[in-house]
Amino acid sequence: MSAEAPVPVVVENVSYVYRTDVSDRQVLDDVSMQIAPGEIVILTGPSGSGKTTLITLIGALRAVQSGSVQVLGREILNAGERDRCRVRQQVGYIFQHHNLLDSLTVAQNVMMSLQLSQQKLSRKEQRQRVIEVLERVGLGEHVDKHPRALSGGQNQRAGIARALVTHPRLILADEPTASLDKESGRNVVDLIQELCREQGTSVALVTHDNRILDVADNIMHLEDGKIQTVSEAMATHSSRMLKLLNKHDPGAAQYLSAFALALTRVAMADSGIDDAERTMIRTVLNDSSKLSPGEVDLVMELALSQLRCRQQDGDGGSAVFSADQAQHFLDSLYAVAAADGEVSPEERVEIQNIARELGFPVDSGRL
Amino acid sequence: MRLAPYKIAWLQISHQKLRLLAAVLGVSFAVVLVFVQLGFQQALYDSSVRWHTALGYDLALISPKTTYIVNPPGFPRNRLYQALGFPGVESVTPVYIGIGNWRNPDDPVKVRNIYVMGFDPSAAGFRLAGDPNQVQKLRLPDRVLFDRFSRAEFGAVARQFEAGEPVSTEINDRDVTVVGLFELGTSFGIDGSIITSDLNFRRIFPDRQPSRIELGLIHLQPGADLQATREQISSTIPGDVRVLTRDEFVQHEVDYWSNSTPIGYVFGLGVAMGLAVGVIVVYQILFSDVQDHLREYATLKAMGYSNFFLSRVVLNEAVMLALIGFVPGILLSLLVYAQATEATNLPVEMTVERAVLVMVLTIVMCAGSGLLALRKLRSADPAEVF
Repeated sequence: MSAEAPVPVVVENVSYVYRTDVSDRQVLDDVSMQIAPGEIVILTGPSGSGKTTLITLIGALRAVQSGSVQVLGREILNAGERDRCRVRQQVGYIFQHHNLLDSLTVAQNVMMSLQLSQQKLSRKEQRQRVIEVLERVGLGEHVDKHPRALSGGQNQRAGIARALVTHPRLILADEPTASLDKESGRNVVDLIQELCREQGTSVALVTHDNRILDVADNIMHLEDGKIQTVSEAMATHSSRMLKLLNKHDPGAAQYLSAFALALTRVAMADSGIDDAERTMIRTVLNDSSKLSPGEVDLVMELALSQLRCRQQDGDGGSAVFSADQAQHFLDSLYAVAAADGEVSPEERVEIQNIARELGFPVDSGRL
Repeated sequence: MRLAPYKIAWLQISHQKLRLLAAVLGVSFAVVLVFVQLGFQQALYDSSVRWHTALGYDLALISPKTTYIVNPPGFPRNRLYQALGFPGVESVTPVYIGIGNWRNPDDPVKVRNIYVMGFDPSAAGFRLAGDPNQVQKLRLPDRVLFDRFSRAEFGAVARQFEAGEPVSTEINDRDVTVVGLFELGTSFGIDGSIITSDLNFRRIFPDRQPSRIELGLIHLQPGADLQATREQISSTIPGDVRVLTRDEFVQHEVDYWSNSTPIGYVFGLGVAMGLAVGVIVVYQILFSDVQDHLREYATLKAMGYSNFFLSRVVLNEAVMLALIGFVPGILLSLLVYAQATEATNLPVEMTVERAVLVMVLTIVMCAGSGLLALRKLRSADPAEVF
């Protein structure tokens, strides 16, 4: 993709209201976002957060009410049926359910998309292109079967082939893994990622499946019609999850926390954790504790998250935090310490230790 | 492997065989319904003008008080002879009409009303009565010709006659002998008919005056101006008769049945009901078909297919269903027509005009229903349909 290529998707100040006879419901509230060429953006959020609405607006499947949506250089706000039709033709859309036509074979379904393309291909070339893309998604043996004869995962892959056969510059996928089991879902997402990387296609993918977030270059979290920062979204989500764990299985929560604390302490002792140590810890956790792989991941992440700031400081020598941030940080710590009336000497010492470990300038005036 | 609208349409309707069968049967049912109603309605009018079309004449003379041909009031025979004096008129035939009591020759206790027409055996206009030799037999007293398509209640006259057995019975308590058969058929007003000579007619109906006739047939010379002659006659002779051309005479009878009797109204209503039920059946079929595929059509729209393309797919489906459903429909209708003709002796016949009319109607009904069903998708954003 050349540098001059226009940004495939530019959304500016878009709001959207569902109007019914009895009430209006605002599903998008002044949303702005962009998708860069070749970028894979995942839109997450709880159901009702407006993510599907946003992607259908980008795909011109829904009329824009206010704000501006430019897709592949075309403004969709107030666009006529003909222009919206043109946009739909240029965008590859992967649906939640495969939405293949039951009466057509898999190859015919893919053909339905290809014959809309502006590219002039002979019949032979068309057929070849259809076979190629179906082989690419692993359906080479099923080209002339009907969708009903295939599994959900196979149909979803046929849906991907249909979206990709025209080599679009933008793929929109609305919960493509929603109706699939874990493994097929993973395969489908990997396939989307792989094919789009090959063709330099931009992707917007809506999901609430956390297991597939790692394919994203950029994650946008929608909450009540507004886009949140990733950290905000993750923090809310993680703390909610930890609270839930604590509430429903306090024993496990305690056990995992203890592990995390212990690991942190050991690793902090020599102010760093290298790959050898990391592998060793993981092996030990895997072999000797009765933790499941997911729980091992959590313990590691909890421990490492506490280490990260120190490690960076130790590696580069340059301060991670600005003076202002450091000052604000210390003020907060003192505020906490002072919450029970006055700052005790033990608390004062602990704050000093933390400040030293994080490389903050120690505020002698407060000592 | 280009997938044009007609190809997609065919794949869509042929994909599920049972559904296709149900749809085709539904359309066929609607087709039969309309055909049967139209057939019966036409049979009513065709049968009521059997005499009007079978008789040979250019102009007909009737009493102005005549409502229909079964029981017309009489008028002076002189009026017909007056018409003979006009230029262009070649000959005239006075016709006597009456209703007699026919005793069933097989079961003499049973007596039924029979339609009796009397005329001069030497006159033209009675080609329907068979070959001239047969007509000449009517010159003997108390001889009649019997309509072989008369209802069975009059007795197995035709079968006995053809088997060579003499058939004699009583009309109005007077012995008569059947000396021949002719072919006309029944109508809503006439169950059976006989033809005889004017003299025999007066023997059967002794109180009738020869100077009063019920129908006058006028034959014009070849090349004579029909309308001019008609104008001349009707403006000159007194107003106690009406002069009608063949078409007018036929129309006069049809008007009576359609406007002055409940029968015409009932069958008109039948046709309307048949059409209405047909439209509803076809609409239901097409609507549910489109409804079931709405998601798929919305998907096509989401991929960038235009409303025009989708309309063409649905229109193609509609026309295909109409044509496929029409074939068994018309075959079934022919079967029903044959049955009805057999059972009633009424002329329930398929005509090319009617077949074309019903086919066009079916296609229009199907196409209209399909487009109506697609209206929802045309106006909606695809995202609202998923």
